[in-house]
Amino acid sequence: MMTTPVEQYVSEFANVKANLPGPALPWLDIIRKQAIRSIDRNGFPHRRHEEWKYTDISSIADTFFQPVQGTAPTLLWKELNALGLDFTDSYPMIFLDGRYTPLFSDSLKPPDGISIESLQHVLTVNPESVKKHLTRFSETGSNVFTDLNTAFMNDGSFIYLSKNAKMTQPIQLVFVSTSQKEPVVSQPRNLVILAEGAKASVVQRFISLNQNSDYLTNVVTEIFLDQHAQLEHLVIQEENFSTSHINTIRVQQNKQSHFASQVFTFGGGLTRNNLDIELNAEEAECSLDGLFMANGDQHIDNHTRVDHKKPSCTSRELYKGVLDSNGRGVFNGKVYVHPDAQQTKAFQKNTNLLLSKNAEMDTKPQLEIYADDVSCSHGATVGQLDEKAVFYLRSRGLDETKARDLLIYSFVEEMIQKVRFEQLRDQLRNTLNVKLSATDERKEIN
Amino acid sequence: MKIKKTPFKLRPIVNSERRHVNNNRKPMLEIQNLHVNVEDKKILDGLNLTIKPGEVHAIMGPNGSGKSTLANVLAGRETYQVTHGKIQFGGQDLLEMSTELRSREGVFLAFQNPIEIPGVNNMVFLKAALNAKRSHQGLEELDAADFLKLIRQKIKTVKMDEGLLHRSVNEGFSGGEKKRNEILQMAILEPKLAILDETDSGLDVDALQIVSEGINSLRSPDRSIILVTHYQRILNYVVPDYVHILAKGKIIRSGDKALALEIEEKGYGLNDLSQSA
Repeated sequence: MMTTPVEQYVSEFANVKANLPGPALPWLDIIRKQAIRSIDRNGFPHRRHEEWKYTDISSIADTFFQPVQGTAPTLLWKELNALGLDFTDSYPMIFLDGRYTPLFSDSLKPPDGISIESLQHVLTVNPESVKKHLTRFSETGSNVFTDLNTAFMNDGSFIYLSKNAKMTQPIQLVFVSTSQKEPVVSQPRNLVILAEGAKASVVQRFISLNQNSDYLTNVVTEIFLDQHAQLEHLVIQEENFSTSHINTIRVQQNKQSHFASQVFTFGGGLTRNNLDIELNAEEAECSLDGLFMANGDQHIDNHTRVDHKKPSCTSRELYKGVLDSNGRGVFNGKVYVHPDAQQTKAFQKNTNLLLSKNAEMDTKPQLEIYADDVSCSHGATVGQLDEKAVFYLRSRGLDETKARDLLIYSFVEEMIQKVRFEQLRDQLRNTLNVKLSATDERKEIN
Repeated sequence: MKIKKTPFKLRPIVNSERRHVNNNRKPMLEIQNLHVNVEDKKILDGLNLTIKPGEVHAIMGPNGSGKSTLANVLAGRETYQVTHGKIQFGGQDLLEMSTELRSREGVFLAFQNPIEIPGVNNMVFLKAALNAKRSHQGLEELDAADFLKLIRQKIKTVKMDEGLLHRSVNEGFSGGEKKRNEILQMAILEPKLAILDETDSGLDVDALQIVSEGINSLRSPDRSIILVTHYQRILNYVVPDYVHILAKGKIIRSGDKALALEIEEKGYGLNDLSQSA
């Protein structure tokens, strides 16, 4: 009988578990074993599963992706430079296939009260510092991808800001995939903890070194914001079109904390972004912004969930999608207002631009309200470029392609302007231009 | 920039304003027996119009007479179907040309309702428009510094606040600011044929005067202007060489400035007019 990928993960786990970081930590051992048992029991979700209705992950479920283990080789400067990344005014951490590579370790040191470490290092040297929070927000059994990450957890980042510590530069976590042809899964795991009054910005970037490699990125990030803490969190995904990408972020917010998320998805063949936020104490605030652009055969699925658990919290959400060629987009945004959460303010919006008749968008904004004194709204639109505006631009001498690009740019620029860091805004605009011109060239060929 | 208010004053028609007209030149625009449908409804029904270089023609008419349709057809709006007729522009077949080609060859339409384009910087837009035209003409594209120099000079003609250059195209502009932005685009693109579609609508007297001065400063022996308007008010400032009355899809009367004054006094009186035409 053929072994299924799930069986292969289970037997792979048995083979490598002694070599995973922190083998002597009983608490971690228990968590890992729970996770692998849960994978064995539940398997991968089918499209009959409500949460996966519009996203077919059989290409992932039918393949065994070899989990990447060990420590990373050192990346050379010239290889890094070739990626065209700009680390001006930022604190970078580079990961190769999910493993930290200490490229900047000598030159950078975070300010007092702030530690920025690789997770592997922490699990080896000082596991007590992560024991309290690691995996606490991602209970096993709720999501097979999170379980897969937990079972094989190997490296990632641990970011800790003590009381009132402030990090002014953005911490840039750059995840580079070096995969050639072999199906591997890189599974970075990030833990971000901001103590009372702390303030930071974290950027996750995902890049492929090779344009035709077929791999899976399965990243899990857990974030805890204590009272008055403020975190800006950006995800910029530009992986190649043959990859699959699952990004799961879970956030717990204490009183009057503020979380601002921006998720930009340009790359990946199949992408699923999960963003779950729990507003666990009064007057916590979060804003969720997203921009996704699918062309070719890309499929981009954004699932968000905001749990308003206590009174007087605010959530605001805006996701914009641009779907071209055979691109498919999914937006599923749930706002859940618990009975205790009076005076909740929750606003959610998803607007989408369809640029081709073969493109498709499934959008499902959901409000579930169990409190009576709330102010909530939600809405979704799917539209096309305004032909009057195209005509206006053409009447000023711009050709049709340029006119359309400018209007797409006009639609997405709002999201780019929300990014506070100029160097990132510039890089996002570059990525956008490359993506638009690639689409235009293909149109000219067809 | 503060705009000085000047009291409303009717400007006399002065002969010098007609100095550009030279009737021996070849037509800039020749429209012959033009029939146009919009969503299968006939809007223009055999319209004829000839305009020579340097001339200013006012086209007046009641709502729904086809004024804006004519303006849009000249600029190449694809939702308007030309079912019959010919349009020659400087000896070329205008109907064969794409919207952008018409623009680069010198056709300019000032929109009745200029479109707001959030997120696109007005200056970037203006520069892209000018450079599209320049590269079509085989000229070198202007860089940012040269363009800035040019626009600083042009913006004075429409007395526009320089701050509007750094905002998104027309976004949050007042009605008057949008119209001035249109005239600024015209000043930069220096068209051969400018069609101003109800540029006077929604303007107060001060804004009307500023916009009119901008238009007047762009009058030249090589530039023809079509002023599409509902009211003769703007014609007190921009004095036309000819006035045409458009009704039910064709021009039913033509004359000079006096015709516009007559219309203002007596109204279009369509039934009488069509009988006498």
